Amino acid sequence: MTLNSLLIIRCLILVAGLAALYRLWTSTHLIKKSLFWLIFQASVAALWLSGSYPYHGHWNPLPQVAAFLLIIFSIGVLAIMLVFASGVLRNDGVLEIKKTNFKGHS
Amino acid sequence: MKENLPILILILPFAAVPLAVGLSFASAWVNRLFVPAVFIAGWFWGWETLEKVLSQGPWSYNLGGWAAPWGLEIVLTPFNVFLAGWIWLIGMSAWFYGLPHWVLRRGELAKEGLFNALLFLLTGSVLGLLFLRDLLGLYFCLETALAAAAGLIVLDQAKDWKNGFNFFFWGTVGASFLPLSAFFLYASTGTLNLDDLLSQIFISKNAGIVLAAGLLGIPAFIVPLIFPSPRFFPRLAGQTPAFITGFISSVLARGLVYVLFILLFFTLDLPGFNQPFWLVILEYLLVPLFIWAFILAFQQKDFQQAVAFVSVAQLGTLLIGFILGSKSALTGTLLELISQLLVVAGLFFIAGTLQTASGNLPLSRLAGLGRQKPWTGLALIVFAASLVGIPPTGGALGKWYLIQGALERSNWVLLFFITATALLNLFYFIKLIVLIYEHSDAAARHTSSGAAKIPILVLALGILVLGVFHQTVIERFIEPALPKAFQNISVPNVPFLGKQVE
Repeated sequence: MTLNSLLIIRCLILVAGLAALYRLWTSTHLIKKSLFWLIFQASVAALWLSGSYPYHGHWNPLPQVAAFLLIIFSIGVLAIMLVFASGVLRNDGVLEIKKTNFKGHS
Repeated sequence: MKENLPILILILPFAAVPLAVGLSFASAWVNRLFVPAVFIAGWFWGWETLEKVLSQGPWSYNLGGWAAPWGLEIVLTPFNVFLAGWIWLIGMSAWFYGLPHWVLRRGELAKEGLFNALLFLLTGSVLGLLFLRDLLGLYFCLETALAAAAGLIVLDQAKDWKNGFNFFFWGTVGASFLPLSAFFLYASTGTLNLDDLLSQIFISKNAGIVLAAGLLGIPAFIVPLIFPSPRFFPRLAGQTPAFITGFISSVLARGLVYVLFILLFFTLDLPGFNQPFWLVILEYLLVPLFIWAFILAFQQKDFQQAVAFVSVAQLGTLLIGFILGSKSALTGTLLELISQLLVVAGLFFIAGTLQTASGNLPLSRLAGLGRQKPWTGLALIVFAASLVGIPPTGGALGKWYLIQGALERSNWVLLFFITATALLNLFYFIKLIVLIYEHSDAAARHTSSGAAKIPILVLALGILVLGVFHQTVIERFIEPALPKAFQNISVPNVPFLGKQVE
């Protein structure tokens, strides 16, 4: 893999991450917000994965381990987010949140 | 066993999490004996560790025998062990304070067990933030702390889960920037160890990466630091018990300020690196922001809302110390950090004691408090005195050193901020004293449990102890925690990035 192709891959990961960040900010649906966060987190893990390089015939394991841990941990975090979202659904009957001002009024 | 004390201290609260849940199904009283036993064990091991680090200096422990920077490193210093001791104390105070709350609800044993488990999980995660010297380790601890705190926020309420979701979701989004920042640092240095990072950046002479990584890491701190501001977490006061809000605000936010201190002054403190002008402007914009938070606090008609704003606004004092960055300012910041841990928790505990059944606490309800509940009134005065900076409280000495730091640097803007906030606090303090001693007959009957008074008095006593023994605290715990440039250690003056290093 040449440096240029790595650069292109990293740029694509960055674009995917930024797009997910924008969507999680604008979305009002709790499940969608959570899933967009997972995509954002996956892009961070992908960036880590792109940092692995061969050294004396072996791939540097640390970025791979970091990416693996990030993904496993993120799935757990997503599960907790869904538990909180189900709590909102149980109490409010909807998974949508209204856009509010700082005082919490619509 | 003694050689493994660092990992034992860290693992203890995590190991107690499943036990706290399991024991709640067995017997309420077994569970209630188990919780203080864990806290006492933590103190006992902490005391043994403290003796060692005070006599032999910082204790570096490599997890699984893998030496840093390859493996995870735990570093115990006199200051972080001392800070951990206060965090254990506040954790136990929160548990003890909440005990009558659970005793009255006999049918909710599982919920009580879950509360204890989340309390341990949050305490353990914050201890991880204090002790671990690995960037990814910090991220995992922060995320766990956020989950535990969000669980505590929604645990005792069934109406509004939005605060819990918002806290966890936005906290997590912010925390996600930490592995991103870690990636940039790793890609340019090949290490994640906090102590190793600075030496690698020093060798690579890459000042730009410091700026990029520092800016990328900032979002990780935002949500825990603005909690429980009513601007961002409306209706929290009426839903979540005050002692839970106080515990999270005190321990998590102030624990993260310590992490910020380590990152700024031990990991990214590249010698000869000058901040760009726009960054300095952004830092100074924090000043009106925190003054605004103080003004908002004093405009509140509800005491709990005022305390929530004050707990956030007080962080400004700590960040000012970081901006000043001198020896006196950092000494003041670390002393103020411990004082704020106690003051914020104590103020929320008092608010919880006095609030109405609907969860409100109008200021008028404090009228006559000093006569009806003299000890609670006295504790409130001690906490308020620490906020204002009246001796012999810990906050007074912290602010004194901060003012000295601002004078040494001739930084009149920050000096104005520190004195202006102290004056604003003083104005509010006088109003509060008049209010709580104004009437001979209390305006409202306070029927809270007498047991809740004990943790409040313990925290107030802690503030006074900090103030009275501040010299010992500074000499034995704070000074060894300062950057080496501020300690009396001779270091070679090596020119770096074309500049002479102080």
